[in-house]
Amino acid sequence: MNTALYRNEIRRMTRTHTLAGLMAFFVFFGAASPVLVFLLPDLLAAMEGVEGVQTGMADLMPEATPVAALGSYVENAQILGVLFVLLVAAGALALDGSVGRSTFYRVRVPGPAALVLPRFAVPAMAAVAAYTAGAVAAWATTLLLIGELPLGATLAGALFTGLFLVFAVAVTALVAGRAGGLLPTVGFSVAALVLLVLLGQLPVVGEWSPTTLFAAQAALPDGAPVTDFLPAAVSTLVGTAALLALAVRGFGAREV
Amino acid sequence: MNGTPVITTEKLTRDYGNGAGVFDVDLSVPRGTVFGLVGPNGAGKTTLLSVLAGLRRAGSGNVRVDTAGGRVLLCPDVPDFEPWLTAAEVVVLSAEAAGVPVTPEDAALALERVGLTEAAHRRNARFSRGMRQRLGLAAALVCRPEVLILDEPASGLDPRGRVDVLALIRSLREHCTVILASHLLGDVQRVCDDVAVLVRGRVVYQGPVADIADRGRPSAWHVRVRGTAREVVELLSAEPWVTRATPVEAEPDLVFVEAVAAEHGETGIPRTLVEHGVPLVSMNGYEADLESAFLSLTSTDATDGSTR
Repeated sequence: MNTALYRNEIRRMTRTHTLAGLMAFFVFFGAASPVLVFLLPDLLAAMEGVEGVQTGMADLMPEATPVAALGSYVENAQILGVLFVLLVAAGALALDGSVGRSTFYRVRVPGPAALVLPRFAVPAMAAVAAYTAGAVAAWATTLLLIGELPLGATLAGALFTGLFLVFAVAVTALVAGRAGGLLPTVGFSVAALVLLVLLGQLPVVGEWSPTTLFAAQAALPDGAPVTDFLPAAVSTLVGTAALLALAVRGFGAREV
Repeated sequence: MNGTPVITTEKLTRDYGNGAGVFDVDLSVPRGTVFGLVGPNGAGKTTLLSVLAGLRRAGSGNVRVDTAGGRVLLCPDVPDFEPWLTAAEVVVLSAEAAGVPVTPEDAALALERVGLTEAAHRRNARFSRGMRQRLGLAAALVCRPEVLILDEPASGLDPRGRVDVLALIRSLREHCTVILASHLLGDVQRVCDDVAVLVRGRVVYQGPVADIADRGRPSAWHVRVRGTAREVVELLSAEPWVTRATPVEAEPDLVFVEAVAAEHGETGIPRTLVEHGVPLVSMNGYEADLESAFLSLTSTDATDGSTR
C-alpha cells in the first residue's frame, strides 16, 4: 500500500480546514439540538400573545426526553450533514475535473485502486469521526440539561449512522469516476441518494435500506435491539464494497 | 542501448470522428534521444502523447514500450497540482506516488535544476503558468523516468526561462528518452535529434531534424554584390535554373534570386558571378529553418500518409 497518497488526503483535510469544518458542523448541531429541545416549550410559552403565534402551542409540545434530544440531533444534521460530507468527498474524488492534476496522479500510480481508495477512505473516516463527535456532544449536552443517556448505545447508534455516511462517500466515488468534475459529481450523488431515500419508503426494501440506519441513533439508546439494524448494516456494507469496486473500474476505464 | 527504439507504434489509430484523432501512425522513438513531435493545432499531438503515456487507449494498432520496467511520465502543457502543497511537497509527492524513494535533498536538487529553489517552500496556488511548467518538470525528473513526454514544456516561459529549460531538456538525453511536443519550431530544432511531423492525425515525416531542416533549405537568396544589381539580374536571369531574379528596392547592390532547387543556387550563383568577374559580398538564404520545411510539409495533402 502506498501510504503517501493517504497522507496526501489527510493533508488535504487539514490544509483546507475541511476536517475542522466537518467537526465544527456536527459538534455544533450535536450541542445545539438538545438545547433547542430543552428550551422550545419555554420559547413557545414566551411567544404566546405575539401576533401570528397560535396560543397553547407550548402545551402541545411533547416532554423533552433524552432520546428526543438525541433524535433532534439526527433530524437537524441529517440533510445538511450528508450534503456537507458529499461536498468533502467530491472535493477529493472529482480529480478528473482538472486534466493537469488528473494526469499528475494517473501517470504515477500503479492503478485506479491507488487513486480511489485513499480519496474514499480519508473523507469517509473524517465524516464518521465528525458525526461521532457530534453525537458525543449531543449526549453530553443532553446529560447536562435533560437527563441520562447510555453512552455505549449512543456510540453504537453513531456507528450505524456513520455507516450510512461511508456508503454516501462510496456513492460519490462511483459518480466521480463517471462524471469527472466537482459539480456534476455532487449533483448526481445527491440525486442518487434522494432516489435511495425514495426506494427506502417501499415496504419490501425498508429494513434493508441504508437510510434506515439514521433511525439507529435515537432507537438504540431507547432500548431497541442492535439486531433491528443489522439487515440495513449488512446491505450498506455490501453496497459500499460493490460501489467501491465499480468506482475503481470506472476510474480505470475513464480517459483523460 | 542508445539508438534502439524505446517506443514503437504500428498503425496506431484513435478515431474521434469528424477527422479528429490519429490514424495509422507508425512511430519509432530511438532510446536516449530527444524526439520532437510537431504539427499544427488539432493535428492530434496530445492524443498521440496521451496514448503513448497510457492515459488513452488505442482504437486499433499497437504501441510497444520497451522500458524494462522503467516509467513513462507525461508532463501536460498546463500542469496542475493540489494548490495547498508547496513546490517541494509536490516534488516529494510525485516521487512517492510513483514509488520512487526520495529525500528532501533529491527534491531540492530537482527544484534547483528547474530554477525554482526560491519558491520551494511556497504553496503553488499562485504560481504562474511558467512556474507550474517548471514544477511539473521537477516533479517528473525526481521520478527518474525512462521516457519523459513533455507537451509544450516551454510555452509559458519567458525567454530566459525558455533557454534554461531547453538546455535542461537537451541535457536529459543522458538519463532518459525525451519526447517533446511543441509548436515552437525553433525550440524543436535547437534540442531535438529526431522529429515527427503530424498533420491531420497522420505522420507525414519522421527522421533526423537535420534532414527535415535540409528540406527547408532555401531556394531563394538575397545576393549582395560590389557593383550594380541591374547587371547581376541580367546575368542570373539568363541561367536556366533561375526562376526569378529582381533588384531589391532601395538597395542598389542587392538582388533577390530564386532557383529551381537549393543546390543549383548554392553553386550556380557564386560560379556565375565569378565567371563574369562580379565580386560577391554576401549571399543569405531566405527562410532557412525548420519552419519553412514544416510549412511545406503541412501544406501538402496529408491524407496520402507519405512518411520517411
